[in-house]
Amino acid sequence: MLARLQELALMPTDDPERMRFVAELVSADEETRACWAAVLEEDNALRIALQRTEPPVDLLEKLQKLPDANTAGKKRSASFSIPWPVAAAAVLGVLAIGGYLIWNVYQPPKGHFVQLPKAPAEIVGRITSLTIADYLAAPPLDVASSDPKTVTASLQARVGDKMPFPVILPAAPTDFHLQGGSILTLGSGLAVYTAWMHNGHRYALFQFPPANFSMPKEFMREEPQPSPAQSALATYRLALWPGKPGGICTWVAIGERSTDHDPFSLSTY
Amino acid sequence: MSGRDSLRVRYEALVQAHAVDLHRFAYRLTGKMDAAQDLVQETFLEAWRSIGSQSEPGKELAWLFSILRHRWAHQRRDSSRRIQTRDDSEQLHQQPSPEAAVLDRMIHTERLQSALDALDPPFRETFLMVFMQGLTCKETADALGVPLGTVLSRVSRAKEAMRKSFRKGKQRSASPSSETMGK
Repeated sequence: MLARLQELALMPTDDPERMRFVAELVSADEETRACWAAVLEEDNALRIALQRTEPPVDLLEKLQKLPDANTAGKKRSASFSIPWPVAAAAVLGVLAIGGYLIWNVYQPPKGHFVQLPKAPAEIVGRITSLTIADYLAAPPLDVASSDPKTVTASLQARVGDKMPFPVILPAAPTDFHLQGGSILTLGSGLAVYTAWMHNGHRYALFQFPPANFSMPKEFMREEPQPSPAQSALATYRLALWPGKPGGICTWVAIGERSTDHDPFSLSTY
Repeated sequence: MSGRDSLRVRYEALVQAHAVDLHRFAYRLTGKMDAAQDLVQETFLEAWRSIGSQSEPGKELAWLFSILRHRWAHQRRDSSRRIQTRDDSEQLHQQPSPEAAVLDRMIHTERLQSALDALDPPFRETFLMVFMQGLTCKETADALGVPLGTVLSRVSRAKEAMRKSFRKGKQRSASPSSETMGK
């Protein structure tokens, strides 16, 4: 009976067999009607849940650029075989480029100034919304301790090697008191969340891989402002900065705007 | 407008209209964001290379899904990637009990994906074609070249396996499942 209902639920709504069944439901017993409703509800719930993924914000941009390096109508051969002259040229090219790079690594730095880019506004907006939502929700602490070593060790044990960097707590000013921390989901992956107190005000610090939001690894330190549409969030301040070295992680610190202490003392790391 | 410009316009319209849907499908299929992005890029690259051969209006999405599934089948032959996916999934479920509270939350967040990952690829693909791509079972059967009964059976068993996986997530002390569809 259940199998039959599930089969009918998978048919298009205008399928004659399904339409006939739905018409007959009126005179069906209560159990059948309830079962049919439950099957439809489960299918709908699955469809909705499956759609709940967020593609990287730069996906469309990357896809739009694909034709720039490729020619329409030029399909690869089925076996992907490469003619030997091309392969030989490629090997020589790799050797030449490799040699050039090795040579440059051992050269003293040229001393030219590199301007870090700003993080894409759309990504920053998403991070702002999500981290403020977490800050307001005050997630339960997986480990409650004021000892940075205890918190670091406990969170590291929880997250294992699922993040490409070690759990680190910043060397915060002495009047910032650590409350504890948690591992939670932020964007498309995990994040380390720690809670802090200063003069009765709560602060939150997030450490997560840039890949959670397709963030560039290196970007300027930013203090994003909630948009007018996010006016309810205007009482909070954020700092967003890349972790050292090489932007292996992204940091976000959040505090209330009205507090007397700059919450971004946490951003010294 | 030159021939290439015209193809480029068509290509960009395809990206705008379908890239997000394809990425969602690819993520559910592969279980990893980076793998999904690679798969979608390969799909659109292939689409760009053969865009001149696609001339059926209204069939673009089906064409793109078909490329994506072929690219995925190609990738599946890379056994190391498959083993890595399974290792991650199993690791998530087999952490020691003292951290059960944290892991329960993590598992809850990713339970749907973990349940999908635990399905054998043909079951996962069939299930997603019906529940994400929006194909009917008959259309799915035609696209996969299998009988309609096979599609119905795969979808039904996939749903049952996912129910079991959800129940197992909620009742961690439950006895191990005897599900035979898992990897």
